Amino acid sequence: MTAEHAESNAGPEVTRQDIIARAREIAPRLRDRAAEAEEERCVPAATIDDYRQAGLIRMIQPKRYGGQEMGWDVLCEVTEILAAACGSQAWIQRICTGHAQILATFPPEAQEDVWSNDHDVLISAAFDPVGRGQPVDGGYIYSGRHGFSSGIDYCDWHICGGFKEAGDARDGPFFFLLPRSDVEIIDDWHTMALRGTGSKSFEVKDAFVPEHRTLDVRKARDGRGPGTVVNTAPVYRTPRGGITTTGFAALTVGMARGVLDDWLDYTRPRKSRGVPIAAKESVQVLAAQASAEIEAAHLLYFTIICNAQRKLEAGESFSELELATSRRNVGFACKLALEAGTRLFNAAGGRALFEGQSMERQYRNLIGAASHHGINWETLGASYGKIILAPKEST
Amino acid sequence: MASLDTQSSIPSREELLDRAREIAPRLRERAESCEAARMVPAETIAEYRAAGLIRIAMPKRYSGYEQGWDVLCEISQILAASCGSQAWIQRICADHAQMVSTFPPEAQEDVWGDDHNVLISAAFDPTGRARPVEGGWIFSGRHSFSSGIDHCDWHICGGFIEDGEDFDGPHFFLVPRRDVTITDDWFVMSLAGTGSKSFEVKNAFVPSHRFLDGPRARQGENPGTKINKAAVYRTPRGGITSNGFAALAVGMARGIVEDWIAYTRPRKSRGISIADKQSTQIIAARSGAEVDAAEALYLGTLRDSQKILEAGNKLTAMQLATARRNAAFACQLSLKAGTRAFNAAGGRVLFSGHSLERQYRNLLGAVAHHGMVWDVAATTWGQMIMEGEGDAPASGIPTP
Repeated sequence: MTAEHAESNAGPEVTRQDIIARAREIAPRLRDRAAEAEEERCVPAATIDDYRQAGLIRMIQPKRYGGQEMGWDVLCEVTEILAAACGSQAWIQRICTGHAQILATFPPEAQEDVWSNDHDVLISAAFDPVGRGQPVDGGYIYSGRHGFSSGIDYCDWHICGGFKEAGDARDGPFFFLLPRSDVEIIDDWHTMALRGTGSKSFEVKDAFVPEHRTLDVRKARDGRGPGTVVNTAPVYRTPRGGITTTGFAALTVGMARGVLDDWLDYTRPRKSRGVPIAAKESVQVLAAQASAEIEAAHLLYFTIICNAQRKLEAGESFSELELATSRRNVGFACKLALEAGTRLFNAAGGRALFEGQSMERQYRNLIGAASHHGINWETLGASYGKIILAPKEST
Repeated sequence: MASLDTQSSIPSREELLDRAREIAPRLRERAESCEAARMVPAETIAEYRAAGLIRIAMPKRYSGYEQGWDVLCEISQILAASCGSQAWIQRICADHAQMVSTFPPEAQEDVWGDDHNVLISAAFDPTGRARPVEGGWIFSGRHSFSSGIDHCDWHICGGFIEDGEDFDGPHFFLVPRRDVTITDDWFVMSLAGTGSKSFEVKNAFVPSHRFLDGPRARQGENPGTKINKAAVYRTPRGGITSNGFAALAVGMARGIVEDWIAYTRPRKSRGISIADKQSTQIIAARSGAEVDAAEALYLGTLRDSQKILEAGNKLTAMQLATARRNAAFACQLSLKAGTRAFNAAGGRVLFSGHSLERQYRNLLGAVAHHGMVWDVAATTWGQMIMEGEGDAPASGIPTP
């Protein structure tokens, strides 16, 4: 990462190698806390402390606010390492870091509202645009009931998806930024997967949102958020949706790696009726197939990021087809990771079904991650196919 | 050593890829005549020579570019999307040029001393036998699948040294065209244009410098590195070089998917647009994603390997097995992608002479190459991982 423009608030420069080494160091602790996270339906406070100390949530935060302005590639590498240890805890690292990147694309005043006093403030989100903001003098009166706000218990600000609505006129979608005082958390996160993410619902009732705490999602999708005027690093021009969904691929691939690691440890000494399972050729091929699927998934989504970063650094924009191809490949990487995890879990036998084991927890987490609506294969596949199969003149 | 002048004329990776892109449409035009002739057209060989596409990994001393294996693979992939057979010859001749560069310097001089355009064919299956004599061996063998042999002046043969009861090898022996009798037996359903004919060598003298130790070459150790210092000459034979076959398979699959898309866009069945069907759109996405995944997998793994070699390190047995596994898996993904698209193209593409059917047949042949057999690569890797000989691979470098 370039250091030339580091400003006074920036901490010491951290390299990719540093941050990856820190993630590797923290990972075993996530594994130790995985059962606790699941039981509490919330990431342990010790993990949030670890993340803060290691700077794992400030990777993409602006240097002005103690961040590192690193690329999406390093974020994904870190997330993948953490997700192999515990999908739920990694989820929070990934999304809080991603939300810091979004905030950095909001108008500068909004960034100041959040980070001026404390660079460690975390932000949760709920992007589904179910909220409504009615224009009033200087801003909007906002109401909405939002689901799936991962990590909300640790967050002081919240990004909500919604529309601006004046009478019959509807404009959007927009992101609205609200402080914790405007939010009522609803503890409804009782799930079979990713329980430790604590992705609870919340409600906002008639809260005032000043104009500068809104972001036009259409601009965010194009990588043209108003924050890019002050935050000039290429990472802030990342098109929302097309490229940023690689974070879900990083989580999914990481969890599949975790399942593979657990499965190998579990299978190497395993015997069935006295016969070593690992000596069977079918089991050896299964290991190869799953591992090759995971590696293919990793390299497929990672290639998207590397290509995207090159384009962003060169100041180039993305065509509709390029973005659709990126989304398609993210969806496919997640599908490969799920297939790998399923193949392994199905070959682990009945004892692996018992609750409380890392493998069954990680496999459930993987199922949940692969169900995320942003990476749904059929949706992404069909939308790519529609573009590529359209008569040439219209693409 | 290359003079400064020679060095400055080395084309970049991007320049070489552009040259391949420029040639590709002409390969497509010649695909049918290539198949009918059961050999690559002379014009194509001339174009490869003019563009330097066979010198990618040749030493600078012999007008080569000393580029990495990834560049060779990217070029093969571009060409293979147009015609699998013609691309095959570019790929293997460039590969064999790298291989001659790993022989002792005298052997390199024998081949390229007078003409930097000389091409080399090979037959690696170690069916030959070499009997030691003063200063070398008397070599005999009947070899098959020597792609492009009609255009080649030298030949690398696989074989064992047989000294009474002693049996040593497999090794590689380099023989000139005059010692070789070609048998025109290449009548095949796939890759007919490669002209991969058999040949026979009878009691030919092979001097000791026209010899490459097989087991050492597989570790990336060879006498050529004494003068050829670039990392590409330490590429382990087989484990890493066979990525070229993945490049061909991925390229052919990419060509099939692209051709299928162009074919399907205007296509109607009983008056209804096929392209408007969501099932067709998902086939396009799935095959496209499989090809992208295949490319990212083999190229990313290859670049990881190159990084290790460039740092002066050797690849572990586990890294070699992983590279082989990933190349084979990339071929499997390519075959799936091509088969899905071909199966969705309907009956009209079954007619002989259609480019889709030719390329699909070529893909079937490429994936059947013995170096790319999935079950073998998978059990080799699987046994190693189960016995705890290493951890599952963790990462890859997809960028050039």
